Amino acid sequence: MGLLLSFFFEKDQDAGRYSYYGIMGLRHRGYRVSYAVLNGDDIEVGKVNPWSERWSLPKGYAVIAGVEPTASIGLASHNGKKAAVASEGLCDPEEIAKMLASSKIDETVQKIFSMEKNDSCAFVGLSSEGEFIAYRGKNGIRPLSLGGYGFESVYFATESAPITLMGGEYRYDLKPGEAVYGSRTFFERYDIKGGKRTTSLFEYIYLARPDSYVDGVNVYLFRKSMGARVARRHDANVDVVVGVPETALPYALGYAEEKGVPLELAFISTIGRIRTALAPISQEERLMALSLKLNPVPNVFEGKSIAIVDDSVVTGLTLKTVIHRLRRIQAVKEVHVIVSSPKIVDSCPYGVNKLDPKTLIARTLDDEKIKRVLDADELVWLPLEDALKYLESFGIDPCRRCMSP
Amino acid sequence: MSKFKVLIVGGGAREHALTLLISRSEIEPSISAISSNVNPGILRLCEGTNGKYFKGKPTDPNDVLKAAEEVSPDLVVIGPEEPLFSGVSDTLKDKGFIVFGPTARASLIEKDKGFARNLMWKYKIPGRLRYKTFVDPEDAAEYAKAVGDSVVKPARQAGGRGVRVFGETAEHLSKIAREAAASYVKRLADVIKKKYKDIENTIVVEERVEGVEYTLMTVTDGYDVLPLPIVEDHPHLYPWDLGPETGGMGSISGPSYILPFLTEDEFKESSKIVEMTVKALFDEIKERYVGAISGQMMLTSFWGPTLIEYYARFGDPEIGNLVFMINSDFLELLDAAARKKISSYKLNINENVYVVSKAVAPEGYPLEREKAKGHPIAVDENTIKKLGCEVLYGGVDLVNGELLTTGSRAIEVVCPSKKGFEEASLLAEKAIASIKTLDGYRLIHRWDIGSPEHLRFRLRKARLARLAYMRRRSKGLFIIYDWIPGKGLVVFDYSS
Repeated sequence: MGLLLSFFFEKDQDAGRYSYYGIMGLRHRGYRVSYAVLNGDDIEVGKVNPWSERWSLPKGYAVIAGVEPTASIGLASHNGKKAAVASEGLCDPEEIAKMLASSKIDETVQKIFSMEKNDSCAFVGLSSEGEFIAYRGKNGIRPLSLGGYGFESVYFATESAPITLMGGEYRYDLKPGEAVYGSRTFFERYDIKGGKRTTSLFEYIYLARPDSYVDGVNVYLFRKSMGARVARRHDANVDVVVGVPETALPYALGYAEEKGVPLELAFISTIGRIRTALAPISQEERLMALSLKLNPVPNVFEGKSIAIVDDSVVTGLTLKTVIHRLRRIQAVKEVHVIVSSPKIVDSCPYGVNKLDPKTLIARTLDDEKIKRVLDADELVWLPLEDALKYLESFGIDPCRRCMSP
Repeated sequence: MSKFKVLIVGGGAREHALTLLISRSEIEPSISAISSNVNPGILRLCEGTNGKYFKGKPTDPNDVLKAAEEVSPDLVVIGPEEPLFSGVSDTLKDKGFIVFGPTARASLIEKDKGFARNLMWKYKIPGRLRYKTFVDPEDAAEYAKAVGDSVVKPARQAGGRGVRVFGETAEHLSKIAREAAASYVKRLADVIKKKYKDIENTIVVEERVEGVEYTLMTVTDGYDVLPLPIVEDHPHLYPWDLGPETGGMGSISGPSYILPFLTEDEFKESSKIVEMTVKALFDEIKERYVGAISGQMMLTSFWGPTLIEYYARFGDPEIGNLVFMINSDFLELLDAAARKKISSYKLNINENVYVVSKAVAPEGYPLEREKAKGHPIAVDENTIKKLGCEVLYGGVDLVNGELLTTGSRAIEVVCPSKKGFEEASLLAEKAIASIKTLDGYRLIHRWDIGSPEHLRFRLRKARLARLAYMRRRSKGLFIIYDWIPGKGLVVFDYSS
């Protein structure tokens, strides 16, 4: 669920050491990262868990990485030329690596653009001849930002925070249907006209870090604004606002600001900022992790009407746990559940997320039943049109195939 | 009455631009030139004015003197910096020629970066940076490691090459950046020591600053300083300001003296910095500086206008922009400077034009120059002229009627527009489409120079730098306090 490319123009620079921080900047997207490192004319591939204690990348002047399970790496070689590709989406990284290793770049790029399955994908690649390539499919589902670190390097990443973490300055977002191909001596752009900026709405709602830009949109401000918008659609009076940690906090801030009601911290995590929804663990372990993330701050909510703001509802498990705790320990008066996104009712046809439709609460139950399950007095969803309107001003008509209209 | 004769020293795009500006003079000069390559643009202007073209080494005072004695010019104009460093101006002046271009001593302002920085601190010229010079690379490496967030430069001007920035935009990168800086210092010192024997210092380590760069070119006779319109260079090789550092892949200027991202005050302050430098130079070396002196400036969050480097010459590609901006007689200006009569010169510029220049380089420039050499290249000048643009020949050599690349930026196109930078930039794109290598070898240029996106990016950066330096000024904060736990208070005083 994320891509990274770092390429240094001087071969004495160790891209691996910089990319370490880039990968750290992507680890909110998943627990396993595959990489390829270019050292001389050799390409070394491997996998790391960026959440683990000690890990590092091999030495080299260029690195590509992809966050599993949605991203993967393909490797190919032809007459001594090797290529590695990390891709996201329906395209086949090995097939692309083969083309990069064996064919002329103009033909390769034309061919990649002509294959429909590549429209929703994005990839980054390296070759043993010191070339790099970055590609964003025609429908732009997957964003790809670009930045530079002085005269030293060029960076690409799914969102801008990893670029900043590697010392870089965020400069540009590839357009849908745009590819960049370069080396230490040239830099070319392929621009297929007629691409659509249907960047994944899920990126803005959940996946990206709040300190990132995604396709030119400041994620923090997007989330705050969605919180404010849903507040305008919610008439009830509440005494206090709570955000479900971690992703929902900017939404809760926006909501509280708009309502003029204080925002309180309600839960403290014992295990840091782990994203339980993405962790490759069993349902039982997930519940345990969730519990450890949500130790309640005592006394703050007793007898109060509270608005609990969340970024989205997938299984409903987190919200259920949160509300249960507040009810049990603090005897809250009313619970208004404010969801700052539309209902998620399907898995992603392009593989941005790998949600199991059977587990989606909004797909299976109507609002009345969800309220009962959550033990909430009220349930409010952000209308899709609010999100669309906001992104429209950035020229984005986001993909919302997993959401209800 | 015999014709006024000019001898141009140097054969790059800068000298082509100078020749072009000079050729428009009402004096109708006869222009001759000397360079190691044959620049077809300069050659044509020489032939068109009944001048001569000498093949010789511009850096060799004897070669240039021979040409001068043959032509007996009324004015010699030295373009590049290396002839200045090697004393071409001194030799010619000794023989009684009138020369536009400083002596070897005066051109230390560019050649010796430690000299320039020291001058700024000694004479309290604003816009200065902390720096340290080193003879021993080991000491330099140790210092770079200790100080961090630094720029490592060769102490001697080396054609703009060798400068590397080891930015610590975030503290977690300090260790990597410092180690890289330290190891680079040693390698650079080896290269510099092998190549240049005319300077004791090898390395300068400077504090790194961030902001928006621009060039202020001026002409001086050592008494008065005449600023020319500000031009903004684009040193990165690739679009979006990415890629390795080059001598400049293009530049923008206009309308009038100031670019949209600078203010009138910033222009004045930048001019003041150069004026103070010219005066300080006289106090220091007791000699009047005659020629062009340019400030490679940056609008930083600390000082506002800050001096990154001096050039003892006009900038390239920057001077190319002025081809469409100077209305008054440029030859008269250079002549007045050389005769120390600049105070009475009135410069007229085209107030309402936006100019974009773009350089075209063969692939390999600047990191793998060998690859970039010797490719036949062709320019459809008629098409470019029809677009209203000018062609300036740079890193090319006319050999037996064939135009070959020399490994550097080969050709620059300069395009004006009354509407804005975007139109000028698009014209330049069209112009570049009629430049091709005959062997199909790849040429590179930057499509983004002058684009609205790029300009917005610069405006935003300049605005942020301005907010920060204005705040500092309003509080008079020119003494920086740093607290290092366990070590105590460290004070950096920029005010005295």
